Amino acid sequence: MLKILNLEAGYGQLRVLKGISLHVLPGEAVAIIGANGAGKTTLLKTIAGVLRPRSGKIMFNKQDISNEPLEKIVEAGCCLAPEGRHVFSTMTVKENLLLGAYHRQRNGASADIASSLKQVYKLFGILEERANQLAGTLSGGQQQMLAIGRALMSGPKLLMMDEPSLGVAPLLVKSIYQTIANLKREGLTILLVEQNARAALALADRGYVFETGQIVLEGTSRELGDNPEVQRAYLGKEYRRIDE
Amino acid sequence: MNLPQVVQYCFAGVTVGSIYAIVAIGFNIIYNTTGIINFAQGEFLIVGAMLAISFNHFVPLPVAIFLAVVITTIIGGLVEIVFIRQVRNASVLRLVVITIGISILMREAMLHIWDEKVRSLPYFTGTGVSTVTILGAHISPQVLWVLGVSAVIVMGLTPFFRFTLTGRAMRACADDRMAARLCGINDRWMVTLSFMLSAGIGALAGCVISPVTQTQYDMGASLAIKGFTVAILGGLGNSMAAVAAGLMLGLVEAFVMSQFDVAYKEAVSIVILLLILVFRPSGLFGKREIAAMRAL
Ligand SMILES: Nc1ncnc2c1ncn2[C@@H]1O[C@H](COP(=O)(O)OP(=O)(O)OP(=O)(O)O)[C@@H](O)[C@H]1O
Ligand SMILES: [Mg+2]
Repeated sequence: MLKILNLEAGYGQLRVLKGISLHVLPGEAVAIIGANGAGKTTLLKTIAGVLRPRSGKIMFNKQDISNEPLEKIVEAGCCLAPEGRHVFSTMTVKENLLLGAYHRQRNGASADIASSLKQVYKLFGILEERANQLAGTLSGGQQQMLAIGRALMSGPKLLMMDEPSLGVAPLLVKSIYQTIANLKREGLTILLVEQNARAALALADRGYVFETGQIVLEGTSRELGDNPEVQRAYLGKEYRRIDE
Repeated sequence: MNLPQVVQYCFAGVTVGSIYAIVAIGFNIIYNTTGIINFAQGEFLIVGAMLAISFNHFVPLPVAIFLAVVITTIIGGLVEIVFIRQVRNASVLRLVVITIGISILMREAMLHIWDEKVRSLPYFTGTGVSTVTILGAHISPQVLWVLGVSAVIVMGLTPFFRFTLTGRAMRACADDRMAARLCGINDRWMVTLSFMLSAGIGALAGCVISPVTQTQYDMGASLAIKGFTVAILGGLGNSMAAVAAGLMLGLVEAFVMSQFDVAYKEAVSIVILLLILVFRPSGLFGKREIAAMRAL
């Protein structure tokens, strides 16, 4: 579904991604884990078209999207729920969700949109309750649900999520991850970036480990979870042993 | 002052005030999508009025105004595409200076096309001397036109921003540019559209006010200052507050004129502007209210 070859990207002088190659198969959930500043967000932004790649290729469903404008990428079915949520805080929850379906509305698919809206409300009941509330007045976790819901409204084939657990209470993290697992079960392809490696690897089929703009490890979630390096750096097993 | 006089001044104040409000709304629409103050906003009013005056020689007034609004709207879009969009690594300050340049350019162009003569559109109904009597005061019917059109513009914008897809997309760009792009909204087109919309409503305002204030190539600058004062007074970006602030400034000006020399009128808005900038930079209506009103 997604295939990335030798991708390089950055900001101005700063070279962040130093030749990334990875792929995501249809129906798969793939996790990317790595320390702060490794370039995970940069990667997702580049795939989504917010940043332009310096070199390399991004293939989405056999179509080269590395230089497509953002609208086309969203229309093709590749959608990002960004880090830090970025909900439209001065607009209502429902308006936020409808804007997620912006390109579909322009193409006049209002029946599909109504059914998508129903589906999102079913996934996140709280959004239906708060439909007419300003998004800025939602709690952090609710805003995260809204950000994911908004991305779903575009009718994506690949849903990318950047740290959906960031700043969300543990109980809500659990419920958000359950919802993501449900989406996966329904066949949605997922690319997930997380600091919370435990949650991410529990959900994902495979994972990549990022370090300073490069992939240093890849494998199935089980392989990564069993890897002593990963355990030490990202799962905090060593610390527990010290505590004990 | 007796009642008819008070009513007279109130109408005069509310009339210019509503035009200030329209200019301020023009500022706000562009400010919301780009963060810049477009100092060529005043020129849009004058271009609109001048075009309508010229067209009116050939076609009936409503058609002339319609054409003028359409053409000014297109000019607004072109201004953005030609001057604003091309700027790389644009800082807000740089863009604001560019809009000042655009305003000078437009003024000079108008000087060449329409020379320095003071012109005006004919009164929409009646003539310069016909009046409507309200509470003993004699009001020109054009004043009612100005009020009516301003009200229609303001009331038309609210549902536009609230219920239409494009209006919502423009608000989304104002709220969070990156998120809007991630929704597949073409933010550049929204910026162009905001210039077109500001230019269009500016042109319409310029046309209705023309019979009352008359139109000259260089009147845009003072309108821009008034509109800017009003926009700041209401809190930048807040169009509903701009209406209140516009009416307030118009009324204050009218009563200052009635009590003191006409010359003080111009000083009023500058003094208010300075006071606001020093004491309440977020505008008369605080941040919370702005957030609430923008949600409308
Ligand atoms: N807009 C920007 N301009 C300049 N540099 C940036 C920008 N955004 C990120 N960077 C830099 O790029 C590098 C990678 O950042 P990125 O946000 O991709 O990391 P990350 O892996 O997502 O980190 P985190 O886990 O903290 O979210 C960092 O060194 C960061 O300082
Ligand atoms: Mg990040």
